[in-house]
Amino acid sequence: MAAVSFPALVPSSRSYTPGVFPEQQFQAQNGAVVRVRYGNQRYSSSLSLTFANITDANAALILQNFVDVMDDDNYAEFTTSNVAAGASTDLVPWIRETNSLLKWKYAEPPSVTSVKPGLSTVTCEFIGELEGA
Amino acid sequence: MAKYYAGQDGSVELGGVAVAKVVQWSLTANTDALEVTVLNEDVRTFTTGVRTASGALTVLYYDDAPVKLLNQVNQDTTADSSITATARLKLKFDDKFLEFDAVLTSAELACVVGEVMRVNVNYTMSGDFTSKSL
Repeated sequence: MAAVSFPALVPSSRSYTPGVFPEQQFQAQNGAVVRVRYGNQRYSSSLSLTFANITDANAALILQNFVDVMDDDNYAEFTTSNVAAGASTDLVPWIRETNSLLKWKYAEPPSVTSVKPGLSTVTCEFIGELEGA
Repeated sequence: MAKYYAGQDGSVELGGVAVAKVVQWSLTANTDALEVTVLNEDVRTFTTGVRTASGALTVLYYDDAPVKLLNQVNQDTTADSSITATARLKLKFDDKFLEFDAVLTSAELACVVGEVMRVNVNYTMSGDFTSKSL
């Protein structure tokens, strides 16, 4: 598994969720809940990015990044000058998942919407996955 | 010689033929503003998007002055076999002009006591200006 740098593009919108912990929940008839925890690492964090009205050349860079990440067992790597740009230092480790064992993979192929000749809007959905043990 | 332009300088051609009794024409040109602000900026930035233009003209109902316009709005090829989807409009003032193809989108006829009957026609430009001199 190798890191593939994401293109030097700053998103116009970004949405992050930290994922969940592996657990099974059992609820008794009286409402009492028992949770069986299977691990102490969260998984399935998600990151939605929108790059609005970027050039077609930059849209192609994202598509190529998708291929480079997904055609092998690789993961996308973000920096504070691209995907995490504009976030405070407190939030950056979460967006980059440098405070966890999660690696960013594409949850689905990027969506490219053509806006006008030469301009497109691209949306990307990433999922944070634990490296297989 | 420098001069001001006034209503008396204005005229309209439809398909290369002057429209009689025009009392008003207007054109509004627009360009979409596409936002390109990104997350590390705190001031909105934009680039240009698709351009459009639309407008209106008013013709007095003198003889058959507005008939061609009305047929064009209604796409009435029975009354006028030369009608096509778009019409070539030329808005002129003095020796200056804007020429373009347009879809005539609506016509409003008003017949009012004490007033000359008139026809208001709205249009939307199709494509870019074919020629202009401003």
